[in-house]
Amino acid sequence: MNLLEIKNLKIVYRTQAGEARAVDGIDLNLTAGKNLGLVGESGCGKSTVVRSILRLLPPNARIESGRISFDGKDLSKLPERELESLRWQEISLIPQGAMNSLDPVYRVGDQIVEAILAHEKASRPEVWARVEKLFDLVGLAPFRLRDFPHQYSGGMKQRAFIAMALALHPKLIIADEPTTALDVIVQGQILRRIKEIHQLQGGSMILVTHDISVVAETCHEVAIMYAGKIMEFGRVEEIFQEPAHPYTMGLKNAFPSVTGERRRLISIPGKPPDLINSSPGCLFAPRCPFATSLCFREMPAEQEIAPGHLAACHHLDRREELRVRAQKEDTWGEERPVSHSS
Amino acid sequence: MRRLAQMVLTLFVLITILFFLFRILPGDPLTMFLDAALPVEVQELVRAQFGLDKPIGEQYYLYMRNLLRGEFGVSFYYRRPVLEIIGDKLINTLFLMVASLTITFAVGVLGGSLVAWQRGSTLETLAVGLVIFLRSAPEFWLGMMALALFSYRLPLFPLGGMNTPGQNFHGFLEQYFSLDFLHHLLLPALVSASYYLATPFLVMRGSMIEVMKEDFIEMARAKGLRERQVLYRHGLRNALLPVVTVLALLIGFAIGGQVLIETIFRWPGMGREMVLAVQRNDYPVAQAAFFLMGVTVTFLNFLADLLYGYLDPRVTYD
Repeated sequence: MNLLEIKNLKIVYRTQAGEARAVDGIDLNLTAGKNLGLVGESGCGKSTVVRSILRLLPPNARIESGRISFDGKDLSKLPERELESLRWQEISLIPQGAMNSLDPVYRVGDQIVEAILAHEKASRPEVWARVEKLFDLVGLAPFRLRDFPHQYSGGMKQRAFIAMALALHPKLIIADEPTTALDVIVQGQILRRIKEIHQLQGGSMILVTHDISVVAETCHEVAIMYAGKIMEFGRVEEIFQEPAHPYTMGLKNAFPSVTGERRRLISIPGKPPDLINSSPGCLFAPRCPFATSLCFREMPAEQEIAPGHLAACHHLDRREELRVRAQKEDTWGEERPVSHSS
Repeated sequence: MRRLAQMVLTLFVLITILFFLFRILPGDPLTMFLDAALPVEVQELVRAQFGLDKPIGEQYYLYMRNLLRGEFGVSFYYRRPVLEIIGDKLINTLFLMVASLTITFAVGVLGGSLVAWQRGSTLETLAVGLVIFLRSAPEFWLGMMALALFSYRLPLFPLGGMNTPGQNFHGFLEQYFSLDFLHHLLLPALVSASYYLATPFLVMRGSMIEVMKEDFIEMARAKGLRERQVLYRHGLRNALLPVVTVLALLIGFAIGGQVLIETIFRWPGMGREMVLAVQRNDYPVAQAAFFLMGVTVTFLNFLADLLYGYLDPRVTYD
């Protein structure tokens, strides 16, 4: 049974230049107990997707269509009160901006206690003792609970959030770039910590990141997002060993290898497309080294190339060949012309 | 502790400036009392009585010494001890000031945050327009309009003064904690509060709008807190900080406005006495009045600072 099901989700932002289609028809399924990675460049809509799950979108965002159901409940139709009790209790969030996500005027301990007491009837000292145990678990000294956020380092805040996110044993933790602000060593420690504790509790996680190596370490499945669409979806090993979509291949080139082989990093030239005036074709086409005229004309549909492995590309049948070519630096050379001419 | 020392230093500088300022002002305090026909020796004698024959340095030294002993001297004009003259008036002034500042900040903070939540509504447009109008109108005009409307046309409030005339009060409590006093206090307090309202109101509104965009507000929502808890516990609480800073500044301004309000509402306070003393070249009274006002401002500022330190754990005073 799927814990989370997202069907054809479309979210637009009202901006001064017009409506920006941040999320454009996304389908996602998450099985209970599994971790899902949501990977993409900045601005590809990944944070918007996870925020819509908790209904925490900014006021200028609007869900145009789609269904988000969690544990059998349609989240977009849930009354405010029920939503409030579901938040944190069943879905918790490790925020992107951990630096500013703690209220500066309250003690860190009090803020975690507040989250617990919003959902449970319990005495304060009892809850405090529980939070002390949690702090111990995430590697923070319990006496630090009495400190204010400004007395914490970035890594400590992040750990405090993990403690907070785990406090109520939620079924789902959404970690929105939980480690971006941290150095690589601390990143690894923290991710392993979340994974250990949370999986022990049998919970699932959605990990939003632009760093594919983080996903490889933590997740079972991964969705590669680009310009509000999912380009490729599948099990982590499959996606990283046999990427089918040129964008995934490009992303893989842009990061140091997970397995440790030495090679040059190749970046994908160009920048993500304009979400306000989008073209009819594949949104990645302008940056894709393998794009043909078909790619600019028509949006490719999602196809299942192996059980549980989906990709949206017109050239999936040539994927073996493309994979070899994608590893060469020349292939990604210069920026591709915006309009196609051949 | 350091903050306290700063306060003392501020007051010392203030009193020094005051002392010399009044002495370089044109006019001789004694010309009012001394008949020019009096023999020069007699004139000199009176001068000596008030210590005005001594060199200015010595006068300064004596004045400071007396001040430390709590002696403000004798009024040149009333020929009575200064404290006797302005003691009660200081209390009257403080009552009015504290009342109007309390109203200003209570209404400003609550109103400002309310319109911040109702961002973009008609209420916001109207309220912002109103406070700016009240701030732009001269305070004395507001006072006169209020008197014309609420005391003359609709006799809801007394025309002025602090108590209905003809009463005898037995002690402090009876005079200040009576409905009659409150009745007299309300209109002047409201007028000066409405004049100063714009500052805390607009600061609170802006601050609230900014705070509600902060990550920790989104986090508070994600924690499953009720919207009301998010607004009060996290929004308002943080938005309050800049308002406290403004409070400290506004206290200083309010003193100046106090003179106008007291004159219009015939409030027997220190603002009026201060103006008269300056006109009469009554150095001891003027100096004492300005000094006490200075003490009040400095002290209230000190309280505002302490409050800020209490409200914001990132600030420490050591």
